[in-house]
Amino acid sequence: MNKLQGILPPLLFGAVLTGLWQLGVFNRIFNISQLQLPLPSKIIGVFISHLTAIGQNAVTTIAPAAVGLILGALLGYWMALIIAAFPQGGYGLMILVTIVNAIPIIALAPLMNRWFTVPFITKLAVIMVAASGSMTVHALQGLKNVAEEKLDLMHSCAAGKWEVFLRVRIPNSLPSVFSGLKIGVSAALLATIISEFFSKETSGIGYMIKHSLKVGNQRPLGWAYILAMSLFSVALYAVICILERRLIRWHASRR
Amino acid sequence: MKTFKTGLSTGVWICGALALIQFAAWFLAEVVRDPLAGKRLPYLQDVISAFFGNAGYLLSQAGVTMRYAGLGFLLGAVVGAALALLMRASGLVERMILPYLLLSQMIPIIGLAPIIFGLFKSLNAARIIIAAYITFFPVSVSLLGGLKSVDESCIDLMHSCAANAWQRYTKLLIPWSVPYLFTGLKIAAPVAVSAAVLVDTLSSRDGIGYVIVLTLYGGGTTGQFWPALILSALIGLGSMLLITALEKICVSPGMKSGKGDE
Amino acid sequence: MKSKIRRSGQRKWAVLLEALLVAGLLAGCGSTSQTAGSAEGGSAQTGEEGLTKLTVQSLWFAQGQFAGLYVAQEKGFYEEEGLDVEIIPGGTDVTSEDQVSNGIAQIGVDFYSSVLTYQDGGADFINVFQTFKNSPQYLVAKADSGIKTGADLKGKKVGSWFGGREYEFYALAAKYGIDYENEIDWVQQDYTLDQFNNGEIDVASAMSYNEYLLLLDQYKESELNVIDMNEEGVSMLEDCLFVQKEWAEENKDTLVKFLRATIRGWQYAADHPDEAGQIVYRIGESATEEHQIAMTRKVIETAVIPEGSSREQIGELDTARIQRTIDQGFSTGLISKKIDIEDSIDDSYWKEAIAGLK
Repeated sequence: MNKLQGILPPLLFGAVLTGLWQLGVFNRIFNISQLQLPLPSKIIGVFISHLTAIGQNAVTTIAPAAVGLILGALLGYWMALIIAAFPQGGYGLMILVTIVNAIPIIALAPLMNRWFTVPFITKLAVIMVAASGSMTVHALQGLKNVAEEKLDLMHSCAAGKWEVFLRVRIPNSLPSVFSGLKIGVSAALLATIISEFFSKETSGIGYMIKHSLKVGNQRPLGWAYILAMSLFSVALYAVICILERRLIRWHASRR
Repeated sequence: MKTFKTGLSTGVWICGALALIQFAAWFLAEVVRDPLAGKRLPYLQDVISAFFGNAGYLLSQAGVTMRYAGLGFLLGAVVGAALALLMRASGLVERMILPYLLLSQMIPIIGLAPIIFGLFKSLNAARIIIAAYITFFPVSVSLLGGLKSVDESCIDLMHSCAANAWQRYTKLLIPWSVPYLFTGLKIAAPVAVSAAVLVDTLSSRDGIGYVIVLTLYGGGTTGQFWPALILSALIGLGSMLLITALEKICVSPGMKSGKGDE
Repeated sequence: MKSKIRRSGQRKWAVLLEALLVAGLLAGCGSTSQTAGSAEGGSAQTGEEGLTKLTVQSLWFAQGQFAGLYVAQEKGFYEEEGLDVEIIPGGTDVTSEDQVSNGIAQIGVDFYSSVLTYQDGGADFINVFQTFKNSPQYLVAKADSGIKTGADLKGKKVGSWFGGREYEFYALAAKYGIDYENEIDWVQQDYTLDQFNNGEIDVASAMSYNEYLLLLDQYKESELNVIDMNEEGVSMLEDCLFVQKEWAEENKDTLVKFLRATIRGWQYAADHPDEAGQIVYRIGESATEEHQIAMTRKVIETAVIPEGSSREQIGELDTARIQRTIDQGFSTGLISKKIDIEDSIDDSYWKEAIAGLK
């Protein structure tokens, strides 16, 4: 029953949205043709008829996206640890992280193409940069934003800096880590798509989106690939939510 | 004293990174003898001279991008915060729309652009809307995380004082979540800049993104690529520092961090 | 402890709210002035001095490829016809077809082969001016690779920009019995020639008027092998001007005037290629002035007024070539049906425009 209550509202809302879209309401509101925004029935039809091809292209995309998200998150957390442990020395690192993260992906992706020759590595580098940024900022906030009474308690027990880190700060950062991961999912997948726009490969969801959307009669196929990417992102997001529930059941935000 | 130390730390890190870049550029050009060395990693002096050769042009293009990024960021932040409050107010709304907010971020600009152009019929309006579209998501998720992390015992306390919903929000939930809001804003600010740079490439004749694409693909004038790239990254950094400064004004130190920060 | 946090947070919160309010007001002002500004550049309206406003969505940055349009604009040919024309450059993620169907532009520049795919998808576009009379798309290989014709592409790494540009190559491969999906190693080519120079691809896509000229700066002509799509008989028509059918019918006079001034623009560019190249360079600041001049010359002599055609045929819709593009688009799977030529082009506007010039 509880589970049903969790799943039902988004499903119903999605059904209503899809229904309105299918009736052409969005096309009318936005004043655009079905060539620019195909109807869901058309997109789903194309999605089903191209399922094998979509599956093959997804393999090219999902592997670097997932690996890049994990590695990027680890890198981001690691940098947050350094910055939190050495607030003054780490400040400059924070600035550097921000600069690197602020390089627009449309400049970073072609640059990484020049640096690395293997498309997988090229994509991985772009995705890691994209995913690490939100993780660093979030984890840092979690590491620092500790309730004072907990710190007071630790101090009264004469705990050292490292013990405070291990027992209070790191556990306290977990909820923020998950916020960072959730934003990281969208940042990483967007980075994946854009890096595939620039990749040498002629496969992958991003590649298919770019080229299908440019060819007038292949627009619905482009949207079918957007649908595929969306399904993948929701799956990743769901995995992160499940992990979150398992790992921090005790935390206030999940009580 | 503290500012001096953080300044020193920033200086040390930046100089270290620059020295590393310079060494790598030298290594590529002289040791590896890579024919594409200048395109992969240029010498710093080349980048600096390319910048000063076109400083006026580059800065004015950066200004254009900053304007659209700024407006889009504000719009996105307001919408994102409103959505977060709405989702906190109603668990049903949260369950209903949160998955779709994530989905909305999966539509790449290339699919989105025709829809937004169709809706607003104006390139410049589209630039603002697209920056806002990318900004609102991190703001929403971060703020919602904050709103939900409030200690239940405090809420119970408010209930027992017969505080109404308005009081609960203005006196407890919102003030508590301000640091979280700023976290979202800090992530969103450079992303908004990045989005504005991306939108510059759509069909405009100005903006730092236009310079990047023109130097990448326009053939010939590749020298401006590096200064343009660095400039766009610096705008992103500047936007984040601005938010950090705002945060210092708006958030009391006791809230932001524990004693370990001293 | 908690109450202390709350109180101080509350005061700060008020400050933040104020800041947001001020910022919101500023944003409001900013965006209203913005929309006012952009409305000026909007759709076909009569503006100041009685000029009719027209917007053209180009395909790429201002460069020699579009010299006729920019020359007509800069030399006042449009103004003489009572038109105030704005030319919007193209971008990486935006298509002319979308801009035209959204009403941001009334006239679009794109490959005819691309316009066909939108017609196939149900858009009511119509080709009114065939700027290029053939395909300037080359495949280029280094001479020492031994790749000379389409037959040699089997098993090679071939670069393409895709997005519809690849169908000529598919036709080429099919002509030599090569299974283009499995027997050619396709590589997504960026808009530089780095991949060709450092050997990541064996064969590169190159426009005769652009990338090929850039290659000639680095290689001798004898060091390059060129596969010409026209010689191979697999060419599809590229740059054309298209509009929405309904718009053309309602704005017949405006369209004819626009086409007439555009023809004059190309004629002027053909007579003064150096000046035309300079004009384009000044507007787009793309590449170098020399390159834009060279591009303008090459575009005119190979595609706009190629051998065997005259200045009076600029933009002419040659039904035989059009039909060949449709047929080939269908046979390679670019379009799903053989579109009726009557639904795809309308040469009445061009005929009226050229008649007015004589």
